[in-house]
Amino acid sequence: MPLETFHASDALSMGVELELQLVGDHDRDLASGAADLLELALRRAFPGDIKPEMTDSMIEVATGIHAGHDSLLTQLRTMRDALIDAAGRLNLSLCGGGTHPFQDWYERRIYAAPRFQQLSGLYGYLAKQFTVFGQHVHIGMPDADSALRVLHALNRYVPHFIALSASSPFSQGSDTHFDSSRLNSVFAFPLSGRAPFVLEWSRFEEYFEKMEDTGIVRSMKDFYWDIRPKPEYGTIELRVCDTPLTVERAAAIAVYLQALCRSILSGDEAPPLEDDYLVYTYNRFQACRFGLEGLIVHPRTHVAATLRDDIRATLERLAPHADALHGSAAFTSLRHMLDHGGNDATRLRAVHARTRNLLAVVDDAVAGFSE
Amino acid sequence: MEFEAGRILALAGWPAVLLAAWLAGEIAHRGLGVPRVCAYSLAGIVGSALITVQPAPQTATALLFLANFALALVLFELGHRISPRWLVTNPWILITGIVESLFTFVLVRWIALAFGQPDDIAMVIAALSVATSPAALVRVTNDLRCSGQVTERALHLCAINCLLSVLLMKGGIGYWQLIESGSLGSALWNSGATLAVSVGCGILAGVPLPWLLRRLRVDERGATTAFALAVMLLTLLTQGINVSPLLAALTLGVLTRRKRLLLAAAQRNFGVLGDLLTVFLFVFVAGIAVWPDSAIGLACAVLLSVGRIAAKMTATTALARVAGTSLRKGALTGLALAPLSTFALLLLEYSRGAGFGLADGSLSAIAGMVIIMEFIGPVFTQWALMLAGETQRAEER
Repeated sequence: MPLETFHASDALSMGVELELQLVGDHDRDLASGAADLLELALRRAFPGDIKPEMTDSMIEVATGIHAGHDSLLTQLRTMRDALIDAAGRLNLSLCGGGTHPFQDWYERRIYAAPRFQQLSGLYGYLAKQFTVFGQHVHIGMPDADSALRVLHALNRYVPHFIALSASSPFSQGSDTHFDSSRLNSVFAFPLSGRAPFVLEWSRFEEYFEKMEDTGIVRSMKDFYWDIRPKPEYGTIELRVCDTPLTVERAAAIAVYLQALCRSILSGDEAPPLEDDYLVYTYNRFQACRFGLEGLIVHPRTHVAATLRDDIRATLERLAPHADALHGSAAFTSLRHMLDHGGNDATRLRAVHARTRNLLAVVDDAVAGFSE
Repeated sequence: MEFEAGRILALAGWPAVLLAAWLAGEIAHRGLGVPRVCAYSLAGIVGSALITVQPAPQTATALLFLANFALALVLFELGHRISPRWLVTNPWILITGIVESLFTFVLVRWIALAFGQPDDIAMVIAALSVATSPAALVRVTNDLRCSGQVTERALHLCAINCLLSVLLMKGGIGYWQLIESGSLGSALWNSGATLAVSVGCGILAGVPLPWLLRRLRVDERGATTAFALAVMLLTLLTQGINVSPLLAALTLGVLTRRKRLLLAAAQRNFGVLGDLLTVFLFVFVAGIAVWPDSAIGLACAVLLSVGRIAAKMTATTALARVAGTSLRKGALTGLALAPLSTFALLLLEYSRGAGFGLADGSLSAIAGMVIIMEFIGPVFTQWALMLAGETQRAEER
């Protein structure tokens, strides 16, 4: 199947996808119920898109296309309320968080759909271990070349998004000492990592054709890159975020990406270079491991700074763009997060420190989702 | 020498049957894909046919206590899984439970009357038919590591129908006492106060126990041991004052769960203790069941069993959509409720202890249904859960 033509979309329009956990009421473990929840949610017109994911304890919801923060947040809240209502009728709870703190990957069941069964056949146990939950953000691009330029210019900011959204400190019953342990599951896939450094769409098409000829890939869906172009939507898709505990945080992160893209498209950022990626993996590791306290190295100046400081400075610099996009409320909430509570991983660890009980951690995540 | 052989048989016979039952269970589960509990029941029936030595009265009382304790542990675990909040969020679950129970009662009673059973015996048979065996259901769902709507609904409906079965049974006994003695007080005591005292005993243990375990910062393993001991205490206490140990254990399970004290995954089924007592429970119960003594008795048993499952499936299917699931899953939920016997027979034994004279007559009338559902019930449950795609076994295949 050849690569789709890049359909231009409204520049800087945005959409959000959230992968959510289905949690049983009686033991707070992940529960099988995706098919039941889908069936029930679709009985009434669901205020968004809803679909299954790799295992049957996961559900993915997606918003429509939005120009600004307010309408995006309104739809996210409406979808959340509809989901909570449907889940309640099935004795299920829903929550965000990049991983479930104590689920056993072996207990998971692959969702009964041909694509997931095929992926399970290919990836073996990795497929069940892929029961992790991410937020994907789409930003509309005016044309294909701009999409690739923005995609690569964002490389330096990828750790920001990991640190801001990190909500997976616990995995398989233990504290991983990572703020985002979810991405360790993603790295295990052979086609994960970063997109090849090409800045023209025609060269990207050549790359795709070559990969297709090898028989390894059939569509863009086979690439698990941190950011990938989505030609059928005319967007770039950021995929490194854990699903935050609240829809408010999810909307704020989307607006942060929108403002960054606006800044890049307006020429505020230096054009991307392949050497920018020399520090990419190291910086990404720092963000996963230490969250906002991670120490990243600037790809050009080689100056080290904590993610907290770097994000704070970036928020300052992007403020005019946020204002122009009517997203200043989102920026205020991100600043508050940096100055006070910290990310969701910090919140979950605090609950565990207080209760010494991973069930209480899930309880807090469930409560957070309906906040 | 003959005396010695008899004595040795009396001493070692039942432990040997238990060991054989466990082995048969493993072969059935791993080799044949049949629920373990079916094999335990088979071993119990064979064992009771081979070992004709009757236990001394004190031993019989101890065995009944042990069976009650085993079932109380199961009821505790069932209570642990029950979410009263769900019954409020989705009242159609509770309504389904009530409709399913009452429809089963009415249909089974009608069939029993059609087969010429006296009215009072028909009523007792119908009351006992309402209950799904929590032991079989919990065991099958644990063995197959089930998760999903059919599992969840079957467990909740089981708790509801067990409760209603006790109420109907108590109502029956109360009615009988009213007829026999003309004492309305005695009748009311049996039907209402017994329920209140049983639940009260559960609350009495269920309130301080979580508080104590939290204060002592007991780990999950320790909590499981404490739960088991509390259930044992409740069983002795309630059996001593002639109320229901099963309802008390169910109440304790619900209360401890509300306090977020959970059985760890490794301790589900109460670990090795639960495994051992489950084998004993099914062997013991199968041992006291008897085959129907005539072809008509057998036909009656088959029809009662068919009617019972049909009633449950009809009710759960009819209310499936409004209760938030598909018609198919509704029907499978009804099918999963098929297991009968352990609960019914222990209720019967209990009512005999309470001086309910009809029990013996009921026992022989219900025996065929028990024998049939002893084997087929858990198989139906397994089918239902596999067809719903809620078992790990289905995934592994």
